[in-house]
Amino acid sequence: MPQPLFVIEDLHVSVEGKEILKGVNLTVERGQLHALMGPNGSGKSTLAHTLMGNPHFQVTQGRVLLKGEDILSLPPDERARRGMFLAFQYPVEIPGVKVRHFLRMAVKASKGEEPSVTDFRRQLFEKMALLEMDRSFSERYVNEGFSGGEKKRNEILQLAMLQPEMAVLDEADSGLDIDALRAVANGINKLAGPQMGMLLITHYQRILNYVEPHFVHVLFDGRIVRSGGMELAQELEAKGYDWIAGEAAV
Amino acid sequence: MVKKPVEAPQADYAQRYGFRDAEKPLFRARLGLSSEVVEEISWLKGEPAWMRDLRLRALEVFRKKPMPTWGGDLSGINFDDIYYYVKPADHQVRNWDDVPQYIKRTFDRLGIPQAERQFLAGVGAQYDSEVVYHNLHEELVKQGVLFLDTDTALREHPELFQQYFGTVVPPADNKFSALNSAVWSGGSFIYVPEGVQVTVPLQAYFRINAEKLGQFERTLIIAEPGSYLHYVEGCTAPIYSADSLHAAVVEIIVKPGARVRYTTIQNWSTNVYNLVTKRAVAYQDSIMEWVDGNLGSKVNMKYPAVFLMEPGAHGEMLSVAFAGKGQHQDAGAKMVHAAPHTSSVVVSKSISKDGGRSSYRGLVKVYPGSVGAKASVRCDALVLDDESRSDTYPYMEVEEEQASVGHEATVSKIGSEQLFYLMSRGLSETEAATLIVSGFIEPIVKELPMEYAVELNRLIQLQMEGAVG
Amino acid sequence: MKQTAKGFSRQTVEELSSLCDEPAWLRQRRLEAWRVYEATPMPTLQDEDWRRTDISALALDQLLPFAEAPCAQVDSIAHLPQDLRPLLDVGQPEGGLLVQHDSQVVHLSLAEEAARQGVIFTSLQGAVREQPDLVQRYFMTRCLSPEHGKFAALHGALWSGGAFVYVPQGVEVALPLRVCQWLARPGLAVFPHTLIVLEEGSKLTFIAEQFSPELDGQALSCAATEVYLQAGAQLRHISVQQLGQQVYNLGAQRHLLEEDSRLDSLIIGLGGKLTKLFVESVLEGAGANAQMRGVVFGGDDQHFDHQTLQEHIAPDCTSDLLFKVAVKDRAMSVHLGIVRVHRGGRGTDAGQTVRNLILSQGAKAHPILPLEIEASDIRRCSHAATVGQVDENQLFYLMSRGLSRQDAERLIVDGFFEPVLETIPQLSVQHRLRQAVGEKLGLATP
Repeated sequence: MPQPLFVIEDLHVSVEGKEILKGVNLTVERGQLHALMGPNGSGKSTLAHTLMGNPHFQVTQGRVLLKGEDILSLPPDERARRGMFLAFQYPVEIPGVKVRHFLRMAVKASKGEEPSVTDFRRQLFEKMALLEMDRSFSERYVNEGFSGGEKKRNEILQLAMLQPEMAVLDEADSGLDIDALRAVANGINKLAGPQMGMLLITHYQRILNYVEPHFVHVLFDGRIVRSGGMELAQELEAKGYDWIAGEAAV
Repeated sequence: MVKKPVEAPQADYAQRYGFRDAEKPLFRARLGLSSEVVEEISWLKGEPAWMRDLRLRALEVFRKKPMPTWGGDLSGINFDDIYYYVKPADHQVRNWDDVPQYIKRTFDRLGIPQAERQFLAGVGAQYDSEVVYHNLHEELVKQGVLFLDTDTALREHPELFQQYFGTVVPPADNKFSALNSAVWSGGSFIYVPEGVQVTVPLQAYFRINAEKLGQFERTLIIAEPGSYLHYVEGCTAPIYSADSLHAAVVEIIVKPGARVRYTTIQNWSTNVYNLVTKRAVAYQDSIMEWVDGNLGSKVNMKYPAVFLMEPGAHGEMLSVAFAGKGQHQDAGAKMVHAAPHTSSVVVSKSISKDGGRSSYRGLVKVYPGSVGAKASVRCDALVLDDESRSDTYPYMEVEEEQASVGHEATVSKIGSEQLFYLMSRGLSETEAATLIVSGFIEPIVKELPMEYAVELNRLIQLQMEGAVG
Repeated sequence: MKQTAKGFSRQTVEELSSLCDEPAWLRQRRLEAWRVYEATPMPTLQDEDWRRTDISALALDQLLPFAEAPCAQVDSIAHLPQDLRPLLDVGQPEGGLLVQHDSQVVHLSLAEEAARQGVIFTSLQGAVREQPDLVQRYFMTRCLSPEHGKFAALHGALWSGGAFVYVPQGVEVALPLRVCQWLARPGLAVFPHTLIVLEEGSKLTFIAEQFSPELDGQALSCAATEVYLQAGAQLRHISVQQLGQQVYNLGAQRHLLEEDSRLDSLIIGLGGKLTKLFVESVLEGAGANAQMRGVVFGGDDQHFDHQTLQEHIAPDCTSDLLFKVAVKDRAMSVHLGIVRVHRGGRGTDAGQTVRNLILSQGAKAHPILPLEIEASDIRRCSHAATVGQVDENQLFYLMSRGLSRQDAERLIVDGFFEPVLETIPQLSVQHRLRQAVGEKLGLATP
C-alpha cells in the first residue's frame, strides 16, 4: 500500500495545562480535500497551529506523520520546508516588511534556492492575477493595514507561491464578503491538484458552496465525532451544532 | 471660562476635619531637632538600647543627606520650628469610652468609632505622636493575628520586630526615612499568620491636632505565606497657618502566595508636607497592591514601591491625585523586577485645578535575568484650567531581553463634546464636568471599599464646585 | 600642516581664531563661549541630563582641537581621497554638496539653478567673510547659545568647518543639499557648525552625514546645528551618523519654528562609541508643526543617549516624535524625551512614541519621557514607550513559511526600521543605510 500523505494519530494537545484536543485521528491522501467543521471552542484552531508547530501548544500524546515521518519535534520552518503549509485565521502584521521581499525569502527557503528575479516576478504577478489582486499589493507591508479580505487573499497567495504538499487552511472564509469569498474559493480550487492534500477548517458551511470537499469531519470537544461527505455539511447547516452537541452527549 | 470663587472645599474641610482641640498634651518635646530630643523620645518610651542607637545613627544620616532637589518645593520646611514628639494621653485603651473626652470627641466627629462598628475588623487611632486607641476583633485575635501600635509591638514582640524592622526601608534610604527612623512614634504593626484571611479591612486613622507638629508614624506589616490582608489608612488635620510635617515609613513583607492590599485616603489639610516612604517586598507568587488616593496636603511626595523578589510575584499601584489651589501632588510608583515572570501594573489618574500641580513620577526597573517580566504603566491627567499644571516623569530601565514593558500617558482637558453631550441631556456644566471627572477616576474608585468610594466621590464633587462657570 | 596644540585653553581659542584670520566680533564670541565653558561644570552622573551617560573616560586634554585637512580644497569630488569617494557619489543629481575632511571644508558645489534662485550654500567660514551681517545675526545667538550646556559652549569656542545655508523668501530648492563630514584622524576633536536659515515660505531638503573609518584612538565629534524656519518655511532635515566606534559624539541640533512653518527631521544613529545628542524643536509661532523621527541601532558596547525636546510656546502647534530603537550585544540606549507645553500653548497637539527592541541578553533600553504641561486648553498630549523583544507570533508566522528563526528575526528588525528609512529622498543614502543595518544584523541585504 502506498504511504498516505498525511496522518494525524491520537493527537492530544494542551494549552497552559488545559487539554484542548483529546485524541484526534485523520488521514489525508494526495489530491484529497477534507473539510473540518466545528463550533467555536471545539479545538479547530488549536489543531491548525499544532500541525504547524506553534510552541504555544503542547502535544501530550500522539503523532503527526507527513510522508511517513513524524514532524512533531520539528520547528515550524523545518515543517514548512518539508511541505507543510498553514493559512492563518488571523495573520499577524509584520511592519516594514514588503510582501514581495517576504515572499521571495519564503520561496527561497522552501525551494532551497534563490529564484531568479524575472522568474519570481512573473510567477508572483501570475498568481496575483489568479487571485484578482492588484500588483501594487506586493509593495505593501505584510498584512499591515490589510482588510480582512486582503489578509485572506494574501494567505492564499502564499499558498500559491510556496506550492506545499499538505495545506491546512484555518477559517479561510471567515469575515469575507461575497466577492472576496468567491475569489478565495476560486484560488483554492485552482491550486488544489492531484499532488496536494488539503484540510479546510471552517465554522460555516458557506465556503463549501464554492469548494467541494471529498470528506467532511465534525470536531467537537477535542475529538472528531462524525465523518462523511457533503451531505454531513448540509445536515449541519440545517440542524446547527446543537444537534452534534446533543448527539455527543448521548 | 469665568471662574466663580471657590470656597466650598476649604470651608467644608474646616467644618468636617479642620476643627482643632485646645492643646493639652501630657508631654511635648521642646521645639526643634537634636540628639537630646531623640534620646528623650527613646527614654520616654523605655526602649532597648539597640533602638536608641539606631535612632541616633539615623539622625546623623538625616543631617548628612541633602534635601532632594527634585519633586516638590520643600524650601518652606523649617526643621527647627517643628515639635517632633507630642504625647496626648498616658496610656492606650481598647474601649472608646476610656479615651480622654476631648480626643474621643474628635474621633466621634470623624466617624471612626461608628465605622469600626459597621465595617471594620480592627481600628487603631493615632492622635499626634501616640496611638490612643487600638482594638482588634476577637475572632482575629484567636487566629493569631497581631494588630498593635508599633511601640507596643517593640515591647511585646521584640524578636519579630527586630527581625523585620528597617529591612525593607533602611534608615539611610533617603533623607526622610532617616528622619522617621530617628524620631518615629506610633503607627501600626500587623502580623498575619500563615494561611489566615483577614477579609474585613483593618484601619488606622492618623490625626494631627497640635500646631507645628511633625508626625512620624512607622508601620510594619508581615503577611505570612498564603495569608490575606486589607489595610486602610486615613488622615486629616486642622488647618493652621504654620506648616506641619508628616514623614511616615511603611514596610511590608509579603511572603509566598500571600496578598496584601494597602489603601490610603490621604486628606491632610493644605498646610501639611506629606513626605512618605512606602515599600513592600513581594516573594514567590504573592500579590502586593497599593491603592492610593491623594487629595490633601500642601506638598505630597509619595512613591509606593514593590520589589518583586521571586518568580510570579505581582505588584499593583492604583492611584488618584487631586491637586487644587496651592497644592503640589508629586506622586507615583516604583516597580522593581528582580526575578523571572514577575509582573506589575501601574494606573495613575491625576486632576489639576485652580493652579494646582500634579506630577506622576515613577520607575519601572527590570534587572537582568528577570525573564518574562511584564510591566505596564498608564498615566492619565486632566488639567481643568490654564493656571494648573500636570507633569509626567516616567522612568523605564529595562536590562532584560525577555521582558516587555510599556508606558502610556495622556494629558487632556474635559472634552467640549463630552460636555455638550451631557448638557444636551439637561445637566448643568458643573454637573457635567463633575460627572466626567468621576468617570475619569472611576477605575480606581471602584477598587475602594464602598464607604471610602462614597467619601472620595463626595470630596471630588466638592473640589469640582465652581470648576466651570 | 597647520594645527593647534593638544588640549583646550583660552590660548587655543585665540590661536584658532588667528589661524582662521577672523574678524574681531567673532573672536569675541569665541572668547565669550570659552568663558561660559569654563564657568560650566563638567557634566557628571549627578546631573539629571547626564545621569545615564558617563563621559568620564573621554580624555579631553589629549585631543587636538583643530587639524587642517590633509588635502587641498578641490572642485571635483574625483580629486578627493579614494576612501571618501564612494560615500560622496550618490549617482543622483543634487542641489549642492559640501565635504568636510577633519576640521576643514575641502569641497563645495552648488547647482546652478539654486545659485540663480539666490540660495547661499557655503562653508561657515566662507560665510563669515562673504555674509558677515547674516552670520553675526544668526550664529549662536537666539537659537543655540553657548549657555545651552558645557559642550555647546566648547563648540562655540572651538568651532571650525561646517556649512551655512540661506534660502531666500519663497524659494523652493528642488534638489537636496548635502553635507558630508569625514573624521579620519585619531586624537582629533572636530566642531563643525551648521547654520540654516529659511526665509518665509521657502522650502529645502537638507542631508547631513557624519562618517569616520575605524580609528586607532579616541576622537570627538562635537557638532552643532542651528535652524531658523521663518513663517511658512518647510524643511526636511536628515542627519545620518555613522562614525567609527572610537568616536565620542556630543552634539546638539536646535530648530526654531515660526508661524505655520514645518519641520520633518530624521535622526539616524548607527555609529560612534558614545552619543549624547540634543534634538530640540521650539515651536514659537502659531500653527508650526514639527515631525521628529529617529532610528537608532546599537551593537557591541555602543551607548546612545538622545535627548529630545518638543517645546510648545505658541498656540495651535503640532509636534510628533517617533523613535525606533534596537539594541543588541551589550549596547545601551537612553531616550530622554521631553514635551513641554507653556501657558501660551493653547490647542497644542503633541505626541511622542519611543519603541525599543532588545535583541540580546545584556542590551539595555532606558526610555524616559517626561510631559510638562502648563496649559489646559490643549488638543492632545500623549506619549508611549515600549520595550520588548521580537514578537513570538510574528516569528511563528514567518517560520511557518520556511524562514529560519534567525532569518525571521532579522527580517522583523529590518521591517522595524524600513518605514523610516524609505522616506529618505536619496535612494543611494537609503541603500547605504540598509546595508549598514544589515551588517549590524549580520543579514545579507535584499
